[in-house]
Amino acid sequence: MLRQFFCWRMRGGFRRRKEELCGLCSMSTSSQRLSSSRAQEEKSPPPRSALFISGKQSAKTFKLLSPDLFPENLTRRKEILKTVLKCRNVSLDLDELERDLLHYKELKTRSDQMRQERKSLQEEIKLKKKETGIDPNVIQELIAKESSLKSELSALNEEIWAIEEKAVHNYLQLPNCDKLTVLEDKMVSTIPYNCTDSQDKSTAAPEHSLLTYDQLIDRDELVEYSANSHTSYYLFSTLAKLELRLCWRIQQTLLDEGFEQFSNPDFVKTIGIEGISGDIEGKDLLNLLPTQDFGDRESLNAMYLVGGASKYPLISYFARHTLQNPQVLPLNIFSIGRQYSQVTEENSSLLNTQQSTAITLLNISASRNEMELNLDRILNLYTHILQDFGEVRIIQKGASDLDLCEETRYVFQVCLPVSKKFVQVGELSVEGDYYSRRLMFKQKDEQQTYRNVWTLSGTLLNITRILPIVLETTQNNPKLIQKFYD
Amino acid sequence: MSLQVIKTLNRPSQSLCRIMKMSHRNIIKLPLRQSSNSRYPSPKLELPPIVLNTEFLLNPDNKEAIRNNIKARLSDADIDKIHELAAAGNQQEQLAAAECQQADQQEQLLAELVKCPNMSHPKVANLSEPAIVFQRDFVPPDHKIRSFEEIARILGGAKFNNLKPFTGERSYYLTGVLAELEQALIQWAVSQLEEKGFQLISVPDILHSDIIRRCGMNVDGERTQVYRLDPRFGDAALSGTAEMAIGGFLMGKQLTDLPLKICAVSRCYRAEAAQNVQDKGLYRVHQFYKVEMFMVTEGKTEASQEALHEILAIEQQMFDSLGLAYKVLDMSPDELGDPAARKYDVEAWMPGRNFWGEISSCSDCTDFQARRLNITDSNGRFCHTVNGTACAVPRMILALCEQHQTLNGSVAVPAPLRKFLRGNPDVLAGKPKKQRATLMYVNSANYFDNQNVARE
Repeated sequence: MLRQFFCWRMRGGFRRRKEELCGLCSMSTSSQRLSSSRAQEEKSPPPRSALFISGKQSAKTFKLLSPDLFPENLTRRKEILKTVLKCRNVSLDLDELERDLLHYKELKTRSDQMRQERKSLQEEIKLKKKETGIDPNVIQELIAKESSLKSELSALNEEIWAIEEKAVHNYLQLPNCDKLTVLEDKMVSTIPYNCTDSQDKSTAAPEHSLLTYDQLIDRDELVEYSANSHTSYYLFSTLAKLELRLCWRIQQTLLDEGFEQFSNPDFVKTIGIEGISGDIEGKDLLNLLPTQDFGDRESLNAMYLVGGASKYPLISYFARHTLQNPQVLPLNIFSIGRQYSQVTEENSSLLNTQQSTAITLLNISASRNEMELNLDRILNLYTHILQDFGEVRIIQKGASDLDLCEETRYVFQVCLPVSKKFVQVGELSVEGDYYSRRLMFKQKDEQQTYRNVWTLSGTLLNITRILPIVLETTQNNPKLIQKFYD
Repeated sequence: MSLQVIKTLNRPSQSLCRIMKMSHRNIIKLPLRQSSNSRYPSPKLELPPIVLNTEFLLNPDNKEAIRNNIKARLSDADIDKIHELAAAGNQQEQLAAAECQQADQQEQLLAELVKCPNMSHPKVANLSEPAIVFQRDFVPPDHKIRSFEEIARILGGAKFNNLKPFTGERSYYLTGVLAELEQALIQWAVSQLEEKGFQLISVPDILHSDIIRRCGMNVDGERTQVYRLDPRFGDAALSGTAEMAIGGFLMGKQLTDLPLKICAVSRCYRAEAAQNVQDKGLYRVHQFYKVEMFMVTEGKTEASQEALHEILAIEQQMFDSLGLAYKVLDMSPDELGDPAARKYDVEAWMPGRNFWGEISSCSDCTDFQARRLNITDSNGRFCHTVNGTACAVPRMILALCEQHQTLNGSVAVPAPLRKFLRGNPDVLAGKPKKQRATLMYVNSANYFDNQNVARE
């Protein structure tokens, strides 16, 4: 029975590649071996991945990670997955996928058993050959049995590989929806501006005379937008000092809250990008020209400039590690640094730049319950920090806007009071055990059992974007800006 | 002091092939490069003409001195070829050769001229090796000296191993108190420079490669230290130092109120290869924070030399206040690179590595960068530029930890840094071990196949 070959749209679009195979999988070899019904399916090149190396590829490609492939995870979430996939206009038969995965597990178990049998036979043959007076027919029989087992194993492997190239890849591309996922955007709350100076209204400047941040920047020559690179900008004294000061101020707040500071690398390779976001092409990211240490995007060994305050290096720190003392959980970590991303518009504005200064958080919890408790705490932390800048709006994003790794995401917007719009300055993603399942990051409990960890992560504050808000909010009232220097 | 800058008027666009008179007195201008044809937005960067000192370079009386300078600098410039091309160009002009022929000739000449390194300051021109001008020796403690890697392990403060597959060669993480120390050093360095009259600006880390070239860095070829973005993002390279971004900022500007003093914190990216065993760990990395000083002076040797020594004095003052053992070297011509006429390196003793490691450098580039970036004063004369490192954070952390280590592997915090660290500590100690996450690297991708894994 022909299986439906599908493609789906991810957020921002995912294009199936039509061009050349990666050198790791030979289409022509596959189509010769497989049945004619499969041969038609296999005309399209197999999906590529840096995260999951199939059995067929493993002879030529070093396998760094083995993501969990537990059908139970799909079974448990099947209903919400169906709803979310429909919401995203993705047609995927989850029942079939579930069956394929279960079948895959059976085949893998059988394959392991057969390998074991074959190994035992080989040892027996070796021993028999050393025996004196042994009937040669006995050895021949064993050899024939081993050879037959080898052929069976080979055929079994072909079946396994076919599932790996289809079902396993589809499974790894499933969105991480679960019970916190909402289908439509939802306004969570609005928090008023925590203004520390109640200025006498009679001395306050009339509203019509207040300037937008663009006008303030022009008037006071606070920023120079430059053609030295796309969206590049130079901040002069006032804003440059404020940028540095805000880093320090929020750092102290987070240290007081018990967070641990990390300083991370700015580069992450394809495997980290795909493992964390599910996006093998790094569609919103900037990749580097190949050097001797890394390749281009086609090679699946590209290097991406993400910034130390991006979640990619923060989470990559824990990839392929087990936590031996889970009693230290929850871990709360933050980083201050750069974030880099693509900007496809031509503009001169601090609100939309390739390079930003930002602060990112990561919470690692021992269980789902603990994660949800920490979610409340961290949402309050965001509110506490952001309301010092202006009115805050918290929106929970609907399923069609989420990344694959996100069960849900809260975005934090702060008001530009004169420009009269809200600007997103932060977000918090609920990722559950997504990274644990994909990046071999687990905790070891007292019974020596490895369990998943549960994470929340996101940008606490994009400092570059908050600067225009501070300008608008504090114009004509120096006391309001002074609090950031106290 | 406010930044007094007068922007120049927009220059008219220049055609790619034009006749230029070849004489010692004339200005020679390189053609503009057209921006790349990429779908990702790529700003049209108008580069100013490079105005070299041809009066000096093409004067036969200077040929020998220039040749000696090139040789001493280990440069691949060729003054003889330059003069041959100049003579051929003059001949073509006299014979009224075709416009494009002359232009080709001129391009070849210009390509050779820009290779010429800056002339070495007379005080260093004859140095065969760096001269030590100051040294404060390290007084070793009574206890065993630990390396930074060991101290970092005790503090629970850094990670260097098992990172390559995810974050690349020579990547590193600073965690806990060492990450806090990194931020403290940045905040402290900026506060010091502001007290000394430097104006802080925030700079881009991604620059058009032509700006980096014009600052004197090689962007092309196998030996380049410069990372570049995929060409689909246009011509974009990662800055190795804020000097390049500041140079880009000042490009094409006329300046009043000299000397101008600017400082910047930037993320620096360098694809440096490891050279010896001391380069392990935090000593030679590809990404790091640096606080940079940049001065622009009148176009006079005395002015830029004064600025150079002012910057050196600031560096020494800062390292003195941190109680560091270091030495100052007046660098020989072979160590100057192309832009610098004179350079001082500062090396701190790193007892865990048992060697002097460079933690800072300051260079007087005279008019080398100004001519390439067209940085002039209000009279239209080329300025001189001087730059220096206030704090290269990883090596500063290395030097501080190794020199100020205590018996149990904690680190004594120099007084000036304490207020920039939470709790004003006089000793940097890591979290109690019970509170630290103990992470074990999984040696095999198939590790969990043979383990009890909860199927969640």
